[in-house]
Parts: sequence; structure tokens; C-alpha cells
Amino acid sequence: MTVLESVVWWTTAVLVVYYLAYNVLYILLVARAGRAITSELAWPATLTRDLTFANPLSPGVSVLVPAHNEEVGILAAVTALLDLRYPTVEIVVVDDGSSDRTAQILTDAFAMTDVDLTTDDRVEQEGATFATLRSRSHPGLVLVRKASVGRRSDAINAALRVATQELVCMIDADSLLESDALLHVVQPFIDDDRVVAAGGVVLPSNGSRVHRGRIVSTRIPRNLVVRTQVLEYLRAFLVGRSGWSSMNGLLIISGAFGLFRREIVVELGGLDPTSLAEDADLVVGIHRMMRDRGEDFRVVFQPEPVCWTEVPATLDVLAKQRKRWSQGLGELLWKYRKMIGNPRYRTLGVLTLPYFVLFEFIGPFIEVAGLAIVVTGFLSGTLPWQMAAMYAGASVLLAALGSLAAVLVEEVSFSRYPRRRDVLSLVTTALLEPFWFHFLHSWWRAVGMVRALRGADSGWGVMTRAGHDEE
Amino acid sequence: MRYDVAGWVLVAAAGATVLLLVVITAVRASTIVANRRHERERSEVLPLLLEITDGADVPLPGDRRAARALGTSAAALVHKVRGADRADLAGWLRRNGFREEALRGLRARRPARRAAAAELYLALDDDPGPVLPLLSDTHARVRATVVRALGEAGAVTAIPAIVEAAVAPRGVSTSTAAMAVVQAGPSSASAFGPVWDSADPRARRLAADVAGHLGLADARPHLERALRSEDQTLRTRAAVALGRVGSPLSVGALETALVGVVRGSVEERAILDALAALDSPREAR
Amino acid sequence: MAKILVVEDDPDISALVVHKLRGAGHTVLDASDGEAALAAIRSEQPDLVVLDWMLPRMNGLEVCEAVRADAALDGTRILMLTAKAQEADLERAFAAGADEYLQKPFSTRELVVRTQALLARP
Repeated sequence: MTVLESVVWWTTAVLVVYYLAYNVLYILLVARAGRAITSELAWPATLTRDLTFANPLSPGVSVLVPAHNEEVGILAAVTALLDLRYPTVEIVVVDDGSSDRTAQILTDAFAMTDVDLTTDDRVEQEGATFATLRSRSHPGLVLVRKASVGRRSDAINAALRVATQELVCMIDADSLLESDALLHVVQPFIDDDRVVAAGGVVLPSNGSRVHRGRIVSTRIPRNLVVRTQVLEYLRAFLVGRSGWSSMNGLLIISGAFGLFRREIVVELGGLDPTSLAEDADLVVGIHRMMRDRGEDFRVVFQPEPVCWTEVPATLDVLAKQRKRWSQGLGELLWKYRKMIGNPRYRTLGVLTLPYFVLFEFIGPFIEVAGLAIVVTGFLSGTLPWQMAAMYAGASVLLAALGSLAAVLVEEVSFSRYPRRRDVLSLVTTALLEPFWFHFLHSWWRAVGMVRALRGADSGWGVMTRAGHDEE
Repeated sequence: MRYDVAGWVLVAAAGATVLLLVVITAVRASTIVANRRHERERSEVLPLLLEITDGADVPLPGDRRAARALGTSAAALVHKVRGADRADLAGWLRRNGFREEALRGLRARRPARRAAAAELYLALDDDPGPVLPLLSDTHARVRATVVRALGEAGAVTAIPAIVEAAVAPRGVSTSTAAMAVVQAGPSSASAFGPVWDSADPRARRLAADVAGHLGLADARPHLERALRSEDQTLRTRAAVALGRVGSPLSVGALETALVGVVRGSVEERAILDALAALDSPREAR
Repeated sequence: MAKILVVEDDPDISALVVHKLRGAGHTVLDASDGEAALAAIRSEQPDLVVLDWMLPRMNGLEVCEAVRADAALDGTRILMLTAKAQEADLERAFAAGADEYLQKPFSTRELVVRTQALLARP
């Protein structure tokens, strides 16, 4: 063997082991999540939720809604939030320097009048608040108008300062919640005094029919980019987070829907305004604070359907989003580097964070470089075809297998997509995905990580919304 | 030779993929069948269910599956109604052996079955005795379900046991217990019985919270005694509760408590708020 | 005998209430969401509406307000049903124009008695 040949051969061998490890780990996680979800579904939940709904002691929830130029959707969003099936809900909308009619629409629709609100100064806010209003028709609805500094986290912090309820729910202005969403996600806080944060399933809403801020029928859209993301979200939420949460090692609660004990978030000083991954940053920050204090706590995940959000429909926008996420994750790993591998932080320290370093941080580089070497090696004839086949099997077949397993978990448990052709669509997407999306995604992640390493300033991406089919 | 393993890996992965495809199809098909059957059963059972609520003594259908469907529907509906409908449904369930089945279910191996059995049993029988052992069940969710079901059934006699479960090392969360006690709706502080003298301040805190929330006037002596407790949290909660109970008779005890309190503490704040509430009871809360 | 519309999204409860009201001799229609309810109220002009608060598509409170805002529907009586337990909710229901309020879980016998009383009001 020449030097070149052995380099190619060994690179491929390392890659095969890498993919085998990754996919086998993933399939184990599927099995674990599948078991957790099926045992969860064996429970008769109706009585519990009805009792929580009717009980005057159910903890109150402040829903924090950051809105920047949301005049198109804000009315439907707030109407839907006011209609949530939950006994005590406060809604804090933050108009983050909108130049459109966002505030005016709310003021007209809900008879908002100026009011003084007490603020909690343990949370800092950059953009100054210039008006606070309360609705006369719905006393639980509050509007904070502030100058924008271009960050969602600053808007959330402004909302946190005036929130009064025991729990805070962080969502995006375009999050569409199921009407039982809060009942589902509050339950862990009631069942266990140690629970400090809970997240729920977030799925792409593209292609679904929406009526007055609520999903009325779900379907998988034709657009392959979106279809692939549906599959990704199913994998990440149904499998990944159920698995991590069952080990108390959950790293991310989606910014599109998460519930926290307000006191804990406030003690932490709110969201980190400099982070690009402020949702993950908050969860890791909570882990660190609670462990450092030596307090027992739980961060949990509820697999029940709760929230739908619009995802990018074009590769262009998706690429920007993923590079930003990846950069955010890279910066987060750097910020909390002392926790990595530290047994003091239990599962998160010794398992979740190292896993993210290995497969999310280094992974993309290995994959991008590896693919280039394998392809050139195979084409130039320096790599034996058996080795190339083994590489393809470990990366493509096993990845498809993992996706199919996630589809199976979804079918067995919630079966959220009622049309038969939607299952077919998910299955074909799962079989196609490893051939194209996987590599693109690795590339975007690698770019994001490079930006994180260079400390590049990556502004907030622009999400182009197509909106939903209104009924 | 050394590449044989590659072939095996490929074949195994491909085989597993095909297998998963088959399983997904099978699951989807069986879901469709199950949903249809469920719909059919529901339409068969509904008229019988309505007859039961009219007080008719509907015989249990001979067909096993229909009998089970009717039993399940009746058991679900019994929690959603009150008064005569509830009495009729519960009576029918009792006559057809569901109380005994629930009693057997309390010892089932599957936790979800134990929990469901406890909910059903409490809807059919006024004596909570047989489900109380489940308050120390090995499974946390069974314990929580039982506590909630006791609250839903208005089992006032079980309140001391519920509070006990809230402070037990393997019990239920304080929120679950407090919510259940409020749901049970005791009309007198005596329902807490020995809890007022519990050695565990956490139990007395819970009693104080709930008594305050429900505005139980006869809790006043217990709460005033709690103002003199060693436990600061309990003293604070007792002050809040006295404010809610709203009796001007507590003013003396609160003012005495104010004398020794640390300036600027949460406790001081609670006592002052309570005193303010008692001065103008209409403004309270 | 009166014409009554039952608006409730739980099929079991809806069937039960419809059955009991029919048993009391009324003509009973049903709807399972807020918009269908409003359409039925406009086209059928029932004497009384038994209206759940939490409904898909449009909540009971909004239906109630829409009925009160429509002069053509003057005289429609509304009985609200809800699991909401707080006094503030009761106030909101009456502010929206409900004539009567019943908390879930309820007794259908009480429901029938209250509808009779409501219908007997001038």
C-alpha cells in the first residue's frame, strides 16, 4: 500500500466506526424513547388534566410573546393564547421596536390602556421600555413596548421583568399552541416539586391548515425541504429529547415552546443577551446554577403534541438558520467548557455535553472532510470498493434506519398525520435524506462552527414567512 | 476475507430497513382497523349508556367486547357528571361487578391499571379505605393519581392521609396534595385532624395554606398557634392564611407576632399584609 | 316545548344533555364548535342555547357576545357550561351576556330544571 492508499483506507475506517457509533447510539435512543412513550400512553390522562384545569391552586402561567413586526399574525396569535385551556394565564406581549402596526392592532382589539407595572430588576434589559399597557377586556393581557436592540433574548427579558405568575412559558410569536398545551406541560411541575423546566414537542406547521391561530388539520407538505425538516423534528423531539430527558440530561428546550419556574430564570438573570442559542444556554445555565447550589432538580420533556412553528421552506433560508444554530451551539460549548466531562454536573457533564462536542461540534468536520476523501479515493481507485460500500452502509443505510424508527414511534404513539399518503411521504423522505440533506447539513454545521471558533458576529437571520392556509 | 463483515453489515441494515417498512405499514393498518372498531362500539354502546342514566337496569351485553366497551364508557362518564346521573351510572357499575373488578385492579401488576382501578373504585364506593395503601405505592404516578382521585371523590376523611403522603419520603408533591385537599373541599379545619399537631412543620404548612385558601374560619386557633412555631416558613404561611380567613379576632395574635419579627423579612411582610387585610376585609385578596 | 341548541365538544356529554332535554319534551339540535353554533343560532333561531365555554374554532364567550350584538337574535337565552372554577370567570360569562351559568361536572337534572326556569322567564 502506498502512503496515499493507507491514508485513504484509515480515514474511511475511522469514518465507518464514527458512523456506526453514532447511528447505533441513536437507534438505542429510539428504543429507549419508544418504550418511554408507549408506557406514557398507557396512562389514562383525561381525569388528571380535567382536575388540573378545574383546580384553583394550579400554578399560574405567564406566556411571554416577543413580537417584532408581527402585524400579520399577532391578532390570531393572541386570540389563540387567550383561549388556551388553562385556569390562570397571563399573556405578556413585547412589541420589540416594531415599525409596523403590531402595537396598534392589539390596542384596538383588546382595549389596551396605559398602566404601571412593577418590574423585577434582577433581570437586565438593554432596549428601554417606553410604554406598558393592560387590556380592559382581558385583564390577563399585558403589552410592553420597548426599543429594539435586534435580539429576541432582550424582548424575552423585558417580558420576564413584568411577568407575575409562578411559571413562565417562552414561545415565538409564530408558535401555534395546541389548546391543551399548557395543561400537558404544567403537569410535571405539579407532579414533582423539583421540576424547574419542561419542554414539549415542536413540529413544523408548514402545510397545515390554521384557523384563528390554531391548527385544525395537519399534513405533510409537498416541499421536500420542509418534509425533511418534519422528519428531523420528529427525530429530535420524539426520540432525542425523550431519551436525554429520561436521563435528566436534557440540553435544549426549544425557544418555540418551553416552560420554566420564573424564580429560577430570574435568579439566573434571565436570558443571556449575547448568546445565539439562548434557549439551550438557559437550560445549561439552570443545570450549572442548581448543581453549584447543590439543589436537586429536574428538567423534563413531555412527548405530547403541543406546539407548531413555521420552518424555512427554502434551502437558502434554512442554510442561514442552521449556520446560526451551529455557531450558537459552538459558542455555548465554549462558554460552558468547564462543565464538559465534569462529573459534578452528572449526565449533562459526562454524557450530553461530550456527546454534543463529539457529534455536533467535531462531527461536521469529520463528515465533510471524510466524504471528500472517500469520494476521491473511490473515484481514483485507491480505495477498495468493499470499504466504500461499508462507508455507504454505515452512513446511509443506518441513518435511514434511524429515521424510519422515529417514524414508527410516531405511528405507534400519536399518529399526528392522519392521511395515509403522509406516512408514505415520511418514509420516502427518510430513505432519501441521507443522500442529500445529511451532507448539506454537515456543511452548514461546519461553517457555523468555524464562525464560532473565529468569534464571528452573525446577525439575526431573517425568517421569511409564507403564512398558513386559513380556513 | 476481511471484508466479509462489510457484506454482513450491509445485508443486516438493509434487512432491518425492509422490516421497519413492513412494521410501519402494519401499525398504520391496525390503527385504522382499531379506530373503526372503536367508532362502531361507541355507536352501539351510547344508547345503552343513555338508558342507564335514565335509571333503567340495562343488562350487561352478552358479547364480551361490547360488555367491556359499555363498562369503559360508563366508567369514563361517571367522572364527568354529578347528581342523579352519577348515582345511576355508579349504581349500574356496582350491580355489574365493576366495584369488585376495581378492587382486584388495585393489586394489578401494571401501574397504569392500579391507578385506573383506584379512580373507578372511588367513584363507586364512599369508603376510601381500600385505596389508601396505594398512597405508598412504588410508582410515583400511581400515588399522584390516587391523591387526585381522592380529592375528586370528595374523600374528606382521607385528608390526613393525603397530607401524610405529601411529607413522606416516597409520597406525592406538595402541590398535588394541596390541590387534592382543596378539591375535596373540607368545610371545617377539623378535617385535618392530627395534621395540626404533626411533628413535621411541612405538614402543618400545607394545612395552613389550604385552610387559608378555603377560608376555613375554625382554623383560626390552629393558625394562631402556628404563628408561635419554631419554623419561620410555617409562621409566614400561617400569617398569610389568617389574612385570608379574615377574622378580626386574629388581630391580637398577629400584632403579638409582629413584635419579635425580623425587620424587612418575608415574615414581617406577610404579617403586615394580613393585618391590612383584616382592617378592611372587603379589600382582602 | 321549546327549541334548544346544545353546543358541546365532548361527544358523550353532548349526547347525554341532548337526550335529557329531548326527554323533557324539547326540540333539540346540537353543534360541536363555536362557528357551527353561531351559524345554527342564526338559521334556526333557538329559544335557548346550552353553550360550553371551551370550544374549538370560537369559544363560547365569543359566541355569546356575537349573539348579544345581533338585534335579530334578541330574546335568545343562553346557559353557559364550563369547568372554569373561578369567580372572575363567572363574572366574565355574565358580562358577555349569559343568562345562567353551570359549572362542570354538573347534574343533567339540574340542567333541565334550570333550562325550564330560564324558558319560563318573561
